[in-house]
Amino acid sequence: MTEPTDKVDEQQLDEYLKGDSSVSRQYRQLPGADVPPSLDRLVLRQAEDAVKPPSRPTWMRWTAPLAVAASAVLVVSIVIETGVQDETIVSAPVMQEKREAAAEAPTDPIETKTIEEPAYASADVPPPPKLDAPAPPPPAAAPAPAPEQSARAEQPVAHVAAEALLREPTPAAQANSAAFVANAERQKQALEEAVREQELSATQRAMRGDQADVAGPRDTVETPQPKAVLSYSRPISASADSMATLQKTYTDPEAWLKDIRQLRKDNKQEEADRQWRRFVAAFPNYEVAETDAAREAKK
Amino acid sequence: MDLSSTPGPQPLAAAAGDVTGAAVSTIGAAPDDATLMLRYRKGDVRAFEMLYERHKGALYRYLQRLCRSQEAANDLFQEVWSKVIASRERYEVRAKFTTFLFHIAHNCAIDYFRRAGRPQEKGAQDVDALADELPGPGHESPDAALSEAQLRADFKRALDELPAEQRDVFLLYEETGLGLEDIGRITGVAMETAKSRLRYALGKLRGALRQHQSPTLQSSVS
Repeated sequence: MTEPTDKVDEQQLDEYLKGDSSVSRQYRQLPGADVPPSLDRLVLRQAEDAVKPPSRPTWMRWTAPLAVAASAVLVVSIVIETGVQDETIVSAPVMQEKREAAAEAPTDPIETKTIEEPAYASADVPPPPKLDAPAPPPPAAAPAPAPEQSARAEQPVAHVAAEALLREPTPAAQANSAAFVANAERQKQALEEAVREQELSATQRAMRGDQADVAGPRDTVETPQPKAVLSYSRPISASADSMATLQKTYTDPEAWLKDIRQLRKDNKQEEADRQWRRFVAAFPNYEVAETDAAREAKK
Repeated sequence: MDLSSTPGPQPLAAAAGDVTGAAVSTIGAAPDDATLMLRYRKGDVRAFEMLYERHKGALYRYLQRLCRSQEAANDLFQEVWSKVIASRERYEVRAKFTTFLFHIAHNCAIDYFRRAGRPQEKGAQDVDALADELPGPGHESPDAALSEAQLRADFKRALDELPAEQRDVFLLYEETGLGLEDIGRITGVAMETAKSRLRYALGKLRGALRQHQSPTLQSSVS
């Protein structure tokens, strides 16, 4: 093999660069291996995978709908819960204002019926049955309860009107209020009866419970104290004296009898009879003289 | 003569995909390389397949003859196309796609040579194996008829014995049809350097051919 020439003159290079030359022809006749088919498939698959959007697992397809559904349920539950709380927040002050307005306007039979619900300390004492009071005509001075939104705004007006009606009745209002006063009296008596019945039943239940616990002699003087505490809200239509008697809790039977005697002296026979019945219910074994003034007059 | 703009012999590489060629392409001609690459960037796999079919032969031959190893050529071929695929988002039509493709291939080959060590001494064994398969050492006798196979074997030997830089320039010129300026850009050298390397390569290859040519054809070898 001869050594190749190190230099080719410019003319020969130019001829080569023009195209057809023996070197180029010989180069094209060299055997050349084709690209292996496996390499073709590899490259083409790689190219296809590169532009193909990444496939997500099957469970990933459900994540978006599930997230939307969960969010919707959460939002709905929050909205419902918020709405209930708003109603409670809005209605509580309104009811409180209604109570206050009713307390200052006792002649309104509707509000009286609403607020005369005794708060019983004993959990097992059921509330008294609601009374079906006759619906009185709407008062002229005190307007009917407004919707919740307007009740707060109208409350001072009703308050002033009720006070004016009660404390300084004008001649024009007196005629209208006469019928309401009569209705209120009837309503008050009915409510007091219901309260009384409830108190009696509560006291009797309390007494039965004490007797079962103590199981001592019944004819002793020291009768066990009733555990039931008769505390309830003051009926706004009741008088101060009668309410003082009603609310008083007696631990001493003699003091109770003394008060009953005083009521009879004050010619409050009805109230005295009511207290006597309570006394008998509270202290059934307490001996009271047949001639005691506290006893209810036999009819 | 302007060598920088002189196209190559258009031997094997499909020069239809050049950017400049796209402007003068006839109606109904295949889309140019840049258009195919842009289409592939948008997700058109068919465009890539066309691009691949257009350039895979030239690229594979370039790598195979530059590295003189079938296994290395396979690895580098896959690596080059992987880089083309990965760089599709950054591809801009600023140069010919062939320049872009073979610049990647040249860099991959340089990395391969660095990993494998000195490449010149390695490929002689393949050439010897090819020569052993050929019938008789005809070139030792001036009266013996030279077969085409013997000629190709000698030419292959001369090609493989070229320095890597000269072989690289020669292969780029033959396979891509690019001008010397583009070849210099691919190889990272000046155009004159590429031209000089090509000149040396041509001299050695022509010398290998001259041994097998009859005296009447000596003058035609240039």
